[in-house]
Formats: sequence, C-alpha cells, structure tokens
Amino acid sequence: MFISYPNWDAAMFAYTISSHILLVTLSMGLAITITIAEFLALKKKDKYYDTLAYKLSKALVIFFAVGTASGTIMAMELFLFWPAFMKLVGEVSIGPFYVEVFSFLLEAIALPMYVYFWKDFKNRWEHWGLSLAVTVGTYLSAFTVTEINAWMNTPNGFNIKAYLLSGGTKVIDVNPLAPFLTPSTAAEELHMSGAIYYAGLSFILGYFIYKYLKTKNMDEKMIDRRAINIASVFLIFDIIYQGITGSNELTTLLAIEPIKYSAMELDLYPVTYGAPEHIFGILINHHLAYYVNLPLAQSLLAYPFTFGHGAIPGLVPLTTYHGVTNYSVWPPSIIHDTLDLMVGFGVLMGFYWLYVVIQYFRKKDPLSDKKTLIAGIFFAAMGIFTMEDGWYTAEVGRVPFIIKSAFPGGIVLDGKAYYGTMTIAQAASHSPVVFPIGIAIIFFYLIAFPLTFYYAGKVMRVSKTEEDLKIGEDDIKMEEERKNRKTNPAKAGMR
Amino acid sequence: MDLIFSIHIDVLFLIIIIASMVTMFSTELMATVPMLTKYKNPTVRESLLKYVVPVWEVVGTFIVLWLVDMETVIPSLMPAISYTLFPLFAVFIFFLLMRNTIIIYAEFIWHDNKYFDERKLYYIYSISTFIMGLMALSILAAITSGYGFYSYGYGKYSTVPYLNSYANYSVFYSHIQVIGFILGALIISAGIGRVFYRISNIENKVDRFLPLILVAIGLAIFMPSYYYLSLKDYMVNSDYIIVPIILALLIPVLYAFKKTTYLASYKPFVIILMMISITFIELREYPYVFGYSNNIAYIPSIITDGPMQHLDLIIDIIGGTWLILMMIYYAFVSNHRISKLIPPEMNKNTADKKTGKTN
Repeated sequence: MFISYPNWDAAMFAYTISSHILLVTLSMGLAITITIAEFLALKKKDKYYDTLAYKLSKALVIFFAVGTASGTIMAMELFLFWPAFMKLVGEVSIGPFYVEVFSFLLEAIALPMYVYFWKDFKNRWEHWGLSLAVTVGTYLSAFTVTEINAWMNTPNGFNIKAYLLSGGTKVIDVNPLAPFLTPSTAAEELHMSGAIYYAGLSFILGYFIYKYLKTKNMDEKMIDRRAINIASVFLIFDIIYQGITGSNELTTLLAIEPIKYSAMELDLYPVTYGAPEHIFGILINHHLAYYVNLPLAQSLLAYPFTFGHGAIPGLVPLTTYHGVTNYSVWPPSIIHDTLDLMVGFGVLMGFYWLYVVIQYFRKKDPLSDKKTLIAGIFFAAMGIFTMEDGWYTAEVGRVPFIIKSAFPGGIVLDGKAYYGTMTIAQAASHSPVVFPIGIAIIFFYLIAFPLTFYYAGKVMRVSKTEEDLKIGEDDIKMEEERKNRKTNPAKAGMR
Repeated sequence: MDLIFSIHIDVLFLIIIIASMVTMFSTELMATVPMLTKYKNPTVRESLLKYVVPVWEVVGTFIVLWLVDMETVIPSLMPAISYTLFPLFAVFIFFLLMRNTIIIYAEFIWHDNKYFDERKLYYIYSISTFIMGLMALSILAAITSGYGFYSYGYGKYSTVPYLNSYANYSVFYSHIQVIGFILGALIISAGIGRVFYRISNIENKVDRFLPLILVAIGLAIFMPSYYYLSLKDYMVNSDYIIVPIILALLIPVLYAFKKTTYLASYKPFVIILMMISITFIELREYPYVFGYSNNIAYIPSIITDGPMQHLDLIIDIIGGTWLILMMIYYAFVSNHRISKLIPPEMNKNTADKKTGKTN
C-alpha cells in the first residue's frame, strides 16, 4: 500500500475543500461586488456601475454552476471518506448543515431571477434586492459551514465523556441546538467572514487591474476602474478587520485550544512572562531549530494590557501524562510556518494598503498609477494564497483529530488521557473504493477548475461593452422614470 | 395504512423534497427530446428555452437539498448508499457539470463560433440532461429495489461496517422491472412534456391525443414495473398507486379539450400535480427501501431520533415555508416575464388558439 487509508482520505478531502473553497470565495466576492455595484449605480445614477454588475453576474452564474456540482461531490465525499464522522454529525450536529442548504436555496432561487430576468424589473431596487438575497444566501452558507468547523474544534451538544468511555459508540444527552454556538464559533465566524471576502475581492481586484492595464477602450476602462475602486475600498477596511479578528482568534485559541495554540506558536514549555515570538523554524526530535527569536513579542501580543504578563501554554506539559509525553497528538509543526506566512503576508498587504491610503490623502490617485496597480496584482494573488494558507493552518492544526477535545488541553477519564474526541483514523473510510473515487475527484477538479476560470474570463471578454452599457443606461433611465411617476403621478400621466 | 398515518414528519418532508427534486428535474428531462427533434421550430424553441434557461440552476440546487435532507433524516443509511451507488452518482455529476457548462456556453459565449453554434450546444445539453435522467431513474430504481446491492452498516444493531457494501450492476440492470421503470418513466415524461411545453397541436386530431397515448403507454409499462420493483410482499400502501395514475392521465386529458388546454399546460399546475403523483408513488414504497437487497432498510428504524428530530422539524417548517415563498415569488416573476413575451391582447381563450398553432 503506497499510502494509508486515513492519509489518503485526509489528503483527498483537503484537496477537494481547498479547490471548492476557491469557488466559494470567488462566488461570495462576486456576489457582494455585484450588490455594491448595483447599489452605487442606482444611487449615483452611474451606468458604468450598473454594467459592471451585469457583467459580473454572468461570471457568478458560471461559478455557481460549477460550485453546485462541486458541492454535490463534497456531500457524497463526506459519507464515502468519513462515514464514522458523518454518523456522529448526523446524530449531534447536522443542524447547521441543514440550515446551510436552505441558505443555498435562497441564493439558488434569487440568482437566476437576478441574472435571467434582468430586464424584466421596472423597479430596479427590487432587482437590487435579489442581488442582496444572493449575497446573504452565500454568506449564510459559509457561516453555517463554519459553525460545523467550530464544532469540530470545540465539540458540544452530547455527553462527550460517555462517548469517549464507550469507545465512540454511546451518543447520549444530545442537544442539537448547541452546535450552532460552540466556544470557538464567534471567533471563527468573525475571522472567516473577513478572510473569505478578502480572498474573493482579491480575485476581482487582480482581474480588473489586469484588464484595466490591458484595454484601450475607454468605456471598458471606466468599468474596470469602478471595479478596482470597490475592491480596493473593501480590502482596505477588511485588512484592518482581519488584523483585529485574527488577533482575537489567536487569543481564543490560547484559552480554549491550548495544544493547537502551542503548536502554532511552537511553544514547547509554558511561561508566565516574556514568551518570544518564533519566526519560522522546525522541530527536530521535538526540539526547536532554525528559527528567529523575537524576545517578548508573543507575550506582548497575547497580553497587551498587562504588558506581557500572562500564562502562555507549552506543548510538552500539555501532552504529558504520568511522566510520558504523547508526541503523536502534536499537530504537524508545519502549521507554525504556515501561521507565520499568513501573518507575514497579512502585514505586507497591510503596508501596501497603507501606502495606497497615504497616496490617496496626498491626492496622488494611487489607483491610476501603473506601478501601484501592478503591485496590486501581486498583493491580490497574495491575498488568495493567504486565505488558503490560513485555512490550511486552522485545519491541519486539528490533526491527528477530526473532532478535537471539548476540554482545553484534553481530559483524563478512568486513568486514560484523551486529547481529542475522534481521530482521523477512527473517522476515515478503509474501503478500497476510496482510491478510484479519489482519483476521479482529482481529475474532476483538474479539468473543471481551469475550464471554469477560462469560461468566466471568456464570458467577461466576449460580451460587447457597448451593448452592456446600453443595458446599464436603460436601467438607470427606467429607475428615473419610475421615480418620476412616483413623485409626480399627474404630470407623468399627462406625458 | 397505519404506517402512513404514523409517518414521521421528517420522513414526510424528505418524501416531498424527493418529489420536488424529481419533478423539477423531470421538467428539464421533458425538454430534451423536443430540443433534439424540434429545435429549428422557433415557437417550440422559445417555449423550451424560456423555461429551461432560468430554471436549470434551481434544479441543481434541489439535488443538493435532497442529498442534505437524506443526510439529516437517514444518516446511517447514507454511507451504504454512497458506497453502492457511487458509479451512478459519478456519471450523474459528470453530466451535471457538462450540462451546466454547455448551457452557459450556449447562453453567453458561443453564439457564432466556427465549430459550435447555439443549436449544437443545446443538443449536447439535451443529451447530457437525458443521460442524467437515466442515472437519476437508475438511482431511484436501485434505492427502491436493491437488486444486486449488498448494503451494510445501517440499523441500530448493525455490527458489519459500511465499507463491506457493494453493488453488482449487471444483476441490477438484468431485471426487466428496472428497464421497465426507466423506459416507462421516460415515455410518461415525453407525453407530459408535450403538454408542459405546449408542443402538441390540439387542432390536429392525432397530435391532440398523442400526449394521452404516450402517457397511457408509459403508465402501462411503468406501473407494473414499479409494482414488482418494490417490496410487494410487505407493502401496505398499494392503494396509493391509483393517485399518480389518475393525475398523470388527467393532464393530457385536460389538454385534449380546448376549454381546459390552457389550464393543463399551465406550468405551476402541472408541477403541483406531478409533485403530488410522485409523493404518492413514494408513499406506496414506504416504509421499505432496498427491498430486494441483502439488508432491507426499514425506514422507521433508521431515521434520526431523539432531540435531533425536533430540530429537524423546526428547520423543516421554517425552511420549507421559506422555500415555498421563494418558489411562489419565482413563479410570479417568471409568469410576469412570460406574459410580457405573449402579445397583450392574448387572453386565456386566445391562448388556447395559440397553443393550437404551435406546430
């Protein structure tokens, strides 16, 4: 056997989700950009914003279409690859999944109406309302799926002690509402919201900067510039929000998932003051090597209000019971490096946006400057990578468990230490069928992905700007006429 | 009959979801043959595309809703379904992706491509949807009958793991009932489709009764096949089979008479009748699935129980109401749009005449 079943299952699912998540982020980014663009079009009576919304809505349909197929695959994959896990989810925490599908329906019913009945709404605000429904639907879908993720990190809603003592067979005292709100839900949701939109809007920013620099058509430039404006303003606020919620997420981990936190920061032993920040580095024989030390930095970041005085946990005592350290429950140390990359890239992106803001206040119009725009493409790509990297850090930080411990640092029951609720090995499928299925899924994404992005780009390219602008113009005119009729019905009637 | 009256609300909701999903997908399936054979006829083409083009996205979502609802109501059965039915689902998903891609290309991209034009793309769309239909019908036949299926891992006291589940498709397809089920359903959908898309010309005597003939032939093949496909030895709800027979015949019968042609081809009306029919077909099957497999699944013993049932119920009520409201809004907007396409002077009576001129 070239790879064990749990490893194959985990690798396949990681591959599937990391692919699917790109579709999701882009769809969410498109949805909110469309909503903002149409709102601005109606408020400012600007046909370019309206045309932008119209063009983007076509791309959204493509990502939605492929996303539906991808989502169906994932629903199947959950059962094929993780039968024991899904059985427990079905008994305890299926609620958020079930709500998710109704959120998806909201999006699925509103989107075709928004796109295909574009010209049939005389009241353009009603049409805009549909785009808002799509945005809300996509966000609620992501929100509810993140609730499940939070439950996997800090499970609740059943008697975990009884479950562990029975060897994973006894599920009692079920409270199906509890998984909607676990100790880690708030922090995860707050950070996820910003991260997913950051990546989605980065896609849009990168694409439109590229188009803006390439096109010679002035009308197209006007449309592209508006897309760049929306994305840039959103990303500037979002990067600040990400900094705050990211810090909050780490502080939450420190309190409720100390093993994951220690692994992410590569803290082997606890301290109460002066913990340094380890920049990169690896573990060799469970000892830290090849790292850069920033004295006091970690303590100061974790406890800014006490000037660094506060408990920082350590991996070794957390995973030692009766004098024996259980290294097998340590998450892979690579998550420390991926965390550093995420934070480092976040800071770099912050500096880029700070530069843009400073230039803006110096009345330099940074978003017309070619060098700044080219740098924007680079930082847009970085934004997408950082989201994937952050997701990887969060998920791999749970290894070797698929459902972590509800008790910070684990629990001792009947003389045995439990550091998690269900391991990946316990949850994974050991059926030989997972190999051909996995290979089929690899090919699915390898083919579907480039094609999807190619289609989306093609749709945007082939649509004729003049025709699209005419639609934008008509929409604005239609709304104007409706408003006039409303404010002055008699006069309108006379006409 | 007691089993039906004591049916759990979550299972009933699942049955309605399956009925909605099958109905919505069937409306697309109905369009495939006319699209392949009559695409060049502008009236038929317009009638098909005005419905299919916006609705294809909604149909895809109903498939996901069905899967998640299955996970919610019968989680312990899902691994066995996944292991045994994966090949059918894989082909279904492949063509789902193909269909989605092609329809987007037809709508937005290749209007005057050197190799492909809209017509060719819609042909590919029709073939993809048709194959999806074959797979969907196979999946339904498989869950109903369990021919050639060896499923493990469900049931309260099951000790055999899920991964032992497997299927022998040569055994499955060698049963004449399976073939009859698929063929019959396709013929029925061809008959209803001629009404749904107003393809049959009621001025022409043969064409007027063609939908009725097709539906009658389809029912004659489908119903006996279905009867033998489901676990008849234990079945307690066989009387329910009369409801889908009456409703399926009602649609083409109403269509054949000028006064009721409009009503019979009114899309929400047909959709509701179809949903009711499929619900009763499923209720007839209840409470067993995989009836002829090694491990008959008795639904009441494998559904999610305990407090989770209550949460499911709450979500069913809220989500279901929400879904119905959204669909009504969709139908309202859609009808409003379609009405704009029909000349304003055309009222209910003239619509009948128009229907008569479609071919």
